[in-house]
Amino acid sequence: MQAFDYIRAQSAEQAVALLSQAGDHARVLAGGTDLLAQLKEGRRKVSLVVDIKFIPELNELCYDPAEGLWLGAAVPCYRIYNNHAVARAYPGLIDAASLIGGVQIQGRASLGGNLCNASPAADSIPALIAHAAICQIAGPAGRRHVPVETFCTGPGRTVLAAGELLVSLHLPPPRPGFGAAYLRFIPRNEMDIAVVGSGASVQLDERGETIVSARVALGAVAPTPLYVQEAGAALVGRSVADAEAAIAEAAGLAQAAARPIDDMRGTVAQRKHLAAVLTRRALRIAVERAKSNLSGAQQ
Amino acid sequence: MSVVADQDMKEFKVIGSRPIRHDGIDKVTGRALYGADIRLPGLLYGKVLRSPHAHARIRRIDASKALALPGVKAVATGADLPSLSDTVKALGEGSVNLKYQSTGLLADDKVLFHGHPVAAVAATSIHIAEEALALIEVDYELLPPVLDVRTAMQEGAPILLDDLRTRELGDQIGTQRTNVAEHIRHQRGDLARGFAEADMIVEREFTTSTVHQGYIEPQNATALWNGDGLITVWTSTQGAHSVRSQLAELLLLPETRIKVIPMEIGGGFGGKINVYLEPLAAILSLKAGHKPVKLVMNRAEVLMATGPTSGSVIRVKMGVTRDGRITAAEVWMAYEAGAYPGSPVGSGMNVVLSPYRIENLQIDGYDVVVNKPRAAAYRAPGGTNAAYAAEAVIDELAEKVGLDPLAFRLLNGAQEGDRRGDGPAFRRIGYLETVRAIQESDHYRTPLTGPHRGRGVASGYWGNWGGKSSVSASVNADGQVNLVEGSTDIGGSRTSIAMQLAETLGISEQDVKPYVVDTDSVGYNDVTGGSRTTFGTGWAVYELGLKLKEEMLARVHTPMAYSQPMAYSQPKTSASPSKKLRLSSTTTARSWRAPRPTPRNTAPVSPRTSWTSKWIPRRRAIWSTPACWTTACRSRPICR
Amino acid sequence: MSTRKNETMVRARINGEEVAFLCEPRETLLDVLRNDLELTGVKEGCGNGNCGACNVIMDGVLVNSCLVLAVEAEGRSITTVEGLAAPDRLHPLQQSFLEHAALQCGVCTPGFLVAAKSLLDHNPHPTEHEVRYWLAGNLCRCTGYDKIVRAVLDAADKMDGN
Repeated sequence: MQAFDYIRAQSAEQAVALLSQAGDHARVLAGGTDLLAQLKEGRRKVSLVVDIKFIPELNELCYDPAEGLWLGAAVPCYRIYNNHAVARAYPGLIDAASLIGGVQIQGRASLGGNLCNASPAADSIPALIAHAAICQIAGPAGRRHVPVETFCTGPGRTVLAAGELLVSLHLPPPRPGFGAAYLRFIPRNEMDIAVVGSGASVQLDERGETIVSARVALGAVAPTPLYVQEAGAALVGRSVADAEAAIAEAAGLAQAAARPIDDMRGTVAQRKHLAAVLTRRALRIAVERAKSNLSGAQQ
Repeated sequence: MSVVADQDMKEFKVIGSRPIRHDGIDKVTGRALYGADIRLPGLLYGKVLRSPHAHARIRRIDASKALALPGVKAVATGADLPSLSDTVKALGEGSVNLKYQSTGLLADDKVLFHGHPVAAVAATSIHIAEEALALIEVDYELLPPVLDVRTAMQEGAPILLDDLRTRELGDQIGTQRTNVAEHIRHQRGDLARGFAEADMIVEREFTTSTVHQGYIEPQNATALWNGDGLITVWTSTQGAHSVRSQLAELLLLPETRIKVIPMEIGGGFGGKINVYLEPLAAILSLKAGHKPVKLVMNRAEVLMATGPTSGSVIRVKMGVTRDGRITAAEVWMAYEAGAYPGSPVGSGMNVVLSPYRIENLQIDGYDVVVNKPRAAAYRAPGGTNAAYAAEAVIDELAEKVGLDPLAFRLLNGAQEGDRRGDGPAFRRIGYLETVRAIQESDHYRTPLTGPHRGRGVASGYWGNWGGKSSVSASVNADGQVNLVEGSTDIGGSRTSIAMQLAETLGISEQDVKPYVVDTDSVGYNDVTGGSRTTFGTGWAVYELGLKLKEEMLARVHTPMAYSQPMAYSQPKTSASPSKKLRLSSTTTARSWRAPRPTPRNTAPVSPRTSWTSKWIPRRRAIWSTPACWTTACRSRPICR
Repeated sequence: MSTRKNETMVRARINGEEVAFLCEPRETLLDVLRNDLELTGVKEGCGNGNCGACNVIMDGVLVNSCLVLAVEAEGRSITTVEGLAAPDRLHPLQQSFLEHAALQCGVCTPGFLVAAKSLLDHNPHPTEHEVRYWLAGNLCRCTGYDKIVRAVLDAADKMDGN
C-alpha cells in the first residue's frame, strides 16, 4: 500500500480543515471497508487519511420519537440494527443495514460511508431515499443540508465539494401508519452486490385506509441510485384495500424509470424485470408494515 | 521361517473409524505453518510486476530507478532465467513445455496475458518492493488480444506464439503459424453408416467458461539460494518433489542441490502443482547476495495469473434408434490452453463418451492458445465440461425416445470389455450395477411432490491415477511409529495414511505419528492430486507395514531361536497367549493434554517375547511402491 | 531492518496481553498481527473483506483485520484464533471442529473459529439458519460448510451444558 499520514480528527471542523489543506489526496476513513480495498488496489492516490470515527457527532446514533433519527456518518451497521427502537421505527433502513456484506463488514461499514462511496448498487441508498433522509454536510463555508436523493451525482461521485464532509443523516420521525422496506436481488443469499435493489415507503392515513404518501427508489439501474418520484405519486390517495392495483402501477413506473446497463451481474432485460418485481414486493411489505404500525411507531 | 499374521481383512479396526486428525490441534489453534507464515533471519520481501495488457510485445524494460531505491536488493527479469529448449515434461496432472513454462514465469519478448510476470523485485520490506514495481519502466507495443477459442482458431487471428505449429494427429507438424497447438482424434467404426442407422439425431453446441480453482490460500514461495550453491525452498504445494524437478529443469540445476520444504497448503484443487513464484524467489535470492526471499501473491494476482481450468467449446452429435440404441456419436471439442499449449483436452476426450457403448464414433480435440493464464489442473481436469456436454445430449435423446434416463443407460451403458471413447477396453467397472441400484433406490423412486422439483441423472468417467509414493517409518522402543511421508497433506491425508499403516501393524492410528517432510528426507513422491494419495501412498504404507512386521518378527525369532511360527496380534488381544505380540500398549491420545505415559506394570507382553531396544533397534525401512499401479488403476470409471 | 515511514506507536490488548507495537499508517491490523506480533494463525485469503480468513474480534465486534488499519487498534482489545484456547484445553468450538472434521486444508479454519466464537458470544443458542447467515462472510473451499455448521451447533449445545 502507498504511504500516507493518518490523523484521528477530533471534530468535524478539524476534519474539514485537514481535508481542505490536503485537497484531492486526502480521504475520509470511517469503516474502511471500501477505502482500504481501494487503497490496496492503488485506485486512489492518497497522502492523508482522516479517521472520523472519533468525532462525537459522527458517531452519534440518537433516536427521538418526536424528532426522528440522527445517524452519524461513521456509525457502523451493527449499531443501527442492534438498536431496538431504531429497528422498529426504520424498518427499511434495517433491511439494508443488515444485508450489506457479512457480519464482519457490518461491524465496520457505515451508511455514511456507503453513501459517500456512491456506488450505483449501494444497498443503503434506496432505503435512505425511501426514509426521506437529509444529509448534513460540513464544509469550509459552514454547514448545509441536501436530500439524500440528490447526494450522488455519478458512480463514485457526490455533491461533496473540496473540503466537505458528510456529518450525519437525519431521518424524519415515522408517524403512525408508516412502513418501509428494502429488497435486493443477488444470485446467492448473502455477501453479494445487488443486481437490482428497491426501497419503498408508504404513509397511510390514521385509519389505515388510504395511502397518503409514498416513496420508491431503485439501486443498480442507473449511474446513481434512482428516486422514482412518479412511482410514489401513483400511490397517493389510493385505497389500501385495493392497494394491489396501485402497487402494480407503481412497479410499472419504477420499471419504466430504470435505465440499467448490461454487465457481469445482469442484463438490461433482467434488471428491468427485477425493478418491477422488487418494487412490487417492497411496496407490499411496506404496506403490511404500515398497517401493523397504525397505533404508532414510537412505542 | 514363516510368519502367520492373524489379520482378518474383513474386520478393519482402524479403517472406517473417525479419528481426530493428527494435524488437527495445530490447525484449530492457528499454530500450523502455511507457506506465507514462514519467517527467516534476513528475509527479503518480493513482489512481481505484471503486465497490464493481455497481449503485447516488450520493447524495453528499464529497472534502474527501481534498483536505485533504498532497500531494493534485487530485480529480476526474463533475462535472468536460463534459456530453455522445447522439452515436454510430465507434471502428474498434466504436462508442460519447459521453454514455455519459463517464459510464462517471467516474460521474454512478449506478454501473453493480463498479469503475465514481467519483472520481480526483492526489498527489505513489502512496501518498498511495491514502490519499486512502480519505478520499473516497461515499454509495450500493444497487440490485439485473443480471448476465446473460436476467435483464436479463425483464419487471420492474431498469433500468440510465433514458433507454434499444429501437432496434427500425433506426429505431423503443421507448417503455418497458428494458435492451435494440437489436433487429436479418436475414431472407430463407420460414422456415416452409424448416423444413417439412426432414427433421430441430436446435435448441440456448448460453451463453458474459464473457471479458477479458488483455493483460499494464495500462492507463495520463499527461497534461499545459499553461498554453497544449495537452494532451499519453502512453499505451499501439492507436490514438493514436483516443485524440485520443475526448479531443476527451469534453473538448469541438479535436483540434488535443491531442497523443497512443503509447508501446510491451503487448498489447491490442481492449481498448486505448477510453480509460479518458486523460481523467481530463487533467482532473487541469488541476485540479492544469497538472502532468503519471500513472495506471496495477493488475491488479484492469484485470479489473474495462476492456472484456471480451460474454457471450451464442445459440439456433440449423437444418433439413436427409435428403441433407444445409440448408433453413432461425433464430438468436436476445442479447449483454451491459456497462453501456452497444454489444455486438458486429451482427458476431456477420454471422458466425453466413455460411459456408453458406441460402435461408430469420432472425437476431435483441439488444444488452442488464447491470451489468458496457462490452464492448470482442476478437479478432473478437462473432464467436467466434457461430461456436461455429452450428458445434456444423452438426456435429450432419452427424452426423445421416451425412455427413463436410467433405462436409457442400461440399454447403452458400457461394461467389461467395451471400449472407451479413446480406445482401451474397460475391465469390470460396475456401471450398470450402479444404474440398477439407483433404479431400486428410494432416492429415485420416491414420488416428486410440489413445484420446482426434479431429479437428474448423469454419468461420468474418470480414472484414478496411481503414481509413485515413498514412505519410511521408524518403530520406537515404546512400540509407536514415526511415519515419514512425502505426500503433502491437503485435506487430512496424514491421518488417512497413518490409519492404513496402523491397520496393517495392528496398532491405533494415534500410535503412528505421521510427518510430511522435505525432499531430502524421503524418497520420491508424485503430487497429491488425481485422487491418488489415499490409494497410492496408502498402498506404500500397507506394504511398508507388512515389511516392518516381517522384519520385526524375524528379529524376535532369531535371538530367541523359536522353532515354531510366531503370530502377530491386534491390540485388543493383549491378554492373548505368549506367542502373540503386540506393538504397543499405549492408549490413544486424543485430548489436548499430553498423553499420560502408560504405567510400566501394564505392559501386556510376556517377558519372554517383549521387545526391548536392545533387540529391536530403531529400524528404518524404505519402501517404494511398484510403478505398475499406474496401469492397474487408470481404467476405473467413477459413476455418478 | 526495513525503512519505515511515519511510524506510530500503538498500544492494544491482544489475546488478553497488553502489547505495544510500532507500525506505519499504511499497515493493516492483519499485517501487524502476522508480521510483527507473530500471530500467523490469522490468515490472509483475499485482502478485501470477502473471505473472512483474517477475522478477529475487536472490542467485541467481529471484523476483517485486512480492512482495519493497525493504527486504528490503538486502545482496542483484540482476540485472534490464538486467544481461543485455555492453557490446558481447547475452546469447545475448536474441539467441536476436530470432532466433526469441520476442516480440510485448514487455512480458513482460524477465521471460521473466530467468527463462530463471536456468534456464540452474541447468541449462545443460534439456529442453523442463524449460523449459516453469521458465517456467510467466511469462505471455505474444501468442506462444503455443512460440517462447519454442525460443529458450531454442537459446540453451542455443549457449551450450554457446561
